[in-house]
Amino acid sequence: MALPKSHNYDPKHVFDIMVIGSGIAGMAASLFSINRKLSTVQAGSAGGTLFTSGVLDLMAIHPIEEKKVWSNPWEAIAALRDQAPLHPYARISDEDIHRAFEEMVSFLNSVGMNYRFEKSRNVRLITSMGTIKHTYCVPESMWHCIKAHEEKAPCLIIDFNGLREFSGRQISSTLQNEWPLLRSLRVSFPGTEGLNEVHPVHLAQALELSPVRESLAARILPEIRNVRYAGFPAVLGIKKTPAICAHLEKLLGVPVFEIPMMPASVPGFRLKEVFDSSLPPKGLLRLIDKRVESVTRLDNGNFILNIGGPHQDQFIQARGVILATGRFLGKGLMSDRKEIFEPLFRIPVWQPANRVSWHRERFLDPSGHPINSAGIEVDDSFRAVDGTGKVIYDNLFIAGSILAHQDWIRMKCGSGLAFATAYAAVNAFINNFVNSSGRVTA
Amino acid sequence: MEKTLLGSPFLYALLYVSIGISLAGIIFRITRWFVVDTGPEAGLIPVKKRAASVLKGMASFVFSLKILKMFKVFIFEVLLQSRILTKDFIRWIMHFCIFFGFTMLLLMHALDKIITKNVFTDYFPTIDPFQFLRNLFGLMVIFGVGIAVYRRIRSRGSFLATRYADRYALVILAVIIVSGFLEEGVKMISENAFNRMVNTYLYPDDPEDVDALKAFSSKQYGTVFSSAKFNTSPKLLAKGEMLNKQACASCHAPAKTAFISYPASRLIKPFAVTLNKTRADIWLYYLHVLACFIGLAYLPFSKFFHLIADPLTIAVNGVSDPRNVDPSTALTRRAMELDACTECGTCSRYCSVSPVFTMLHNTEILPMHKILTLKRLSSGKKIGNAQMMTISEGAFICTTCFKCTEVCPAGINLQDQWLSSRELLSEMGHPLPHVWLKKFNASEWSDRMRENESTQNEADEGIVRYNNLTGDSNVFALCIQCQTCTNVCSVVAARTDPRDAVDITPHKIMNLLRLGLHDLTLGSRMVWDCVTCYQCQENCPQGIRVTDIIYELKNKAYAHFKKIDRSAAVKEDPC
Repeated sequence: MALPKSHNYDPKHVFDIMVIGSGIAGMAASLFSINRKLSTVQAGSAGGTLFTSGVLDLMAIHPIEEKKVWSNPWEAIAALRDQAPLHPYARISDEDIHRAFEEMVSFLNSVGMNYRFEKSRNVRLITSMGTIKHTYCVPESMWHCIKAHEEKAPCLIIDFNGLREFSGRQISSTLQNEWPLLRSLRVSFPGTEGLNEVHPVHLAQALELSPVRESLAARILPEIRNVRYAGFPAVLGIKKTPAICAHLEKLLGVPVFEIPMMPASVPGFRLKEVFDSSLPPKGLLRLIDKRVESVTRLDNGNFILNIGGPHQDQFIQARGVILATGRFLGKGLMSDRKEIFEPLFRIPVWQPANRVSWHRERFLDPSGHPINSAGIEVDDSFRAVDGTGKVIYDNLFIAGSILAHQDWIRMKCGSGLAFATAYAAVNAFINNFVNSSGRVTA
Repeated sequence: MEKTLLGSPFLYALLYVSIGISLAGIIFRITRWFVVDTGPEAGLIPVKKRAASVLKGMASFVFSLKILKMFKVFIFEVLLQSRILTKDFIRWIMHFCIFFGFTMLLLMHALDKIITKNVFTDYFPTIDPFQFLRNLFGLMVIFGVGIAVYRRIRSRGSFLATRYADRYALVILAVIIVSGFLEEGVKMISENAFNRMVNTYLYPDDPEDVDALKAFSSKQYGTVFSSAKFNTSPKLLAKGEMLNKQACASCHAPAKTAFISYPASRLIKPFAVTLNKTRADIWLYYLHVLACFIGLAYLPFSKFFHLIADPLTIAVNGVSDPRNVDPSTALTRRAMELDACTECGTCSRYCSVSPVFTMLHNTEILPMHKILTLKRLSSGKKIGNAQMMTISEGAFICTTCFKCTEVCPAGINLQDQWLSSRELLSEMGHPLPHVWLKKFNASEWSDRMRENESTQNEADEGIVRYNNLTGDSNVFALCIQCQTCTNVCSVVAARTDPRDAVDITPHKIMNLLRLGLHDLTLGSRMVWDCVTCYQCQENCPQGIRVTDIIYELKNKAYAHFKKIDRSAAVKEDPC
């Protein structure tokens, strides 16, 4: 498994797995494959994980037309298997989904990003809009938010002058009927007095320093009075969030929590930091901000991937590829006037018959749009298949939101889907190539 | 005859006049060092104090151990010119030949009555080794001048500009040396000179004696006689040789050791009679001596002044710390350094930002040209606003990397010159772009730019040089305004003072580009304060080249803004 110190893009060096994509699915696939001692290389844009809210969904809404919310995600998945057998979850057992989640969360906990979830329950989390999000696993720093909301306890939401994407008043007024004891408070963040605009990452960086926290707490303390919880926008540090929360709790005398913000938000930065800094020491060769421009396949089935562009002769040879390039934003899927296509391997994309049927008439149609379920179809080993169900390449596996027959945003199943399909893809690679195939290993 | 020539009151008078002019000129120029304005301290330190601190500095130097270092500096850097040797061998050969040859000619030949005669009691200019050495030294000077002319013709251009002063210096050197050789050659073939010698030193016993000597002289020294009334028989020659031994040889070595003048005399032999008749030996002598006098008188006002200023500069800077400038003596030193510059162009060839010159064609970027400009500035000449803007541009492109100071053969502390002149420029209202840019905000710049460009209707010559990222919508179309660039921007984070806050943050710049409002971005603080740390570009989830775009905008902004008169007041918006 030991990687050469400088493989220098030697195309003769064969990696076990090349993960293409650096979002949640790509990161999960990389983690699972290095945990299984596969030599792994990963390429992708600088930060797909930046766009995450920081909370990890498993499964909450099904069917989307009815917006039926499930308080037990496993029941939702069971219903899904029954009613939508093409959904990627239908190809993975509950045990595997659970193991994938466990493996990911234990990794995050091991590097200081504490996450919390209950085995069979979706939690109700407040968003920066004041709406309720049903999710499965949240950062420890947001757990008190769920508690406070459940108890409807007296609570103070703090926001900052110039922080445009977060308003305590918006939250308290939206939740007024449901949670009358919720109050909001606007203060100037220490050191930003008079600024028109402040930016969440800068606040998070500033809060890593204890004098800033003390100064901030001093501004809030007079308003604490009888409240039992204090809520902040998700800016409580980048690397030391648990310690910062503990310090603020000590200073304010009440439990504090974070409320997730619009992407790209600080929890997304935290995830990016963790993946960027913790996976390479575990053996991952991570090519940050390097895109795979083209791919060729050798006679023995190995893929040669051209990294970085046509004028840079940088090549990676890998025995298997996990494609986790995401949908349109991640450029895993693209479209022209006629069709949706997958730009790298040009594998078939399951999609509505023509462009007219991509979208329904109403933009906010509760059942979503057919294009949202377009994507790559796979077999039970998560290998891409064509329209007839035939495997295209026996060593090309698909993971994450690029998969067909799911609408992760509406179903609230994004992270779970990413973890579970990445888990299944890595295991399928091992079953097909390491355990059973006669092919020479690296 | 010899005596009358040298001792003629006319020549003596000229000699004293030229010495007088020379001394007065040297004193004038050295005095100027204490007066001219060469830096931001100028107004604060009176002339008296400047002179006093220089004297004090000299005194403290003389009574310190630094004087030992001075010997080393003098031998290696002044006499052997090691500063040139380490940079350019051909130039060193050229300079050393001229310097050594001319100095030796001065000491051995021109000042022979004062120096050589007292050192070597049997000195006579026409015996060896002096005759040979004079030719050797003369040849060295001519060789050096030849290389100089060749270099100046071959590497013409901005890096080695040949001006009047350079031509004058080479011409006067060539005239002195060539006239000297010719004069010696003409004398060899001159019947008049022969006659003068015979009349003075030969006491003929026999009328045939003169003929015999003529015959021998014609063979041995190449003298040409208008009427050969003698038969060159071996007997006559033998007699001539004997007479020569008796009367001439003690003062005259065989002419062939004058290995330049003798072949020269062979060349002009066909015209010997005419030259004799026109007394070429005399007028060539006058030409030679007068050229020397002119050179002497003009020395303080010519390039030759570096003979005085350079050793002083090398000595002063050789023993002082170039990075730790004493402000009280700095003004004087800088003025002296300006005089020490010979415009040799070494600094320009080693300049780190000379590639910028090849793009902008602003000669004020090149150190050699900047020194010339500093001379103009310090002499108080009026310079127009447009020219000052050009000068300011050149001055602030310099990175003060210290390279020019290290290579300067005259040992000038060029970096100090640049730093002080920048301060001077800032005081005069021509600071670096990042400062004058802040006079207006982004939208004011945009208004002025539109106004300026509509009146001038100029093609934007600056754009073709760059990648034109900002003109290609594919480059920034992917932006989804997620603000990651702004969030990771260290400049935005560092600006916590509202008066100094970044106005248009990186993601807003991308949005303005998407809206086609390029002109509004150009004058923004973000573009000008960007430290190109590449955090935004490296973190952009969409892979947009944010930093490259901002950098290009800055270059474009500069290309536009430098054409705008920034001294005029802002127009009030009527709305």
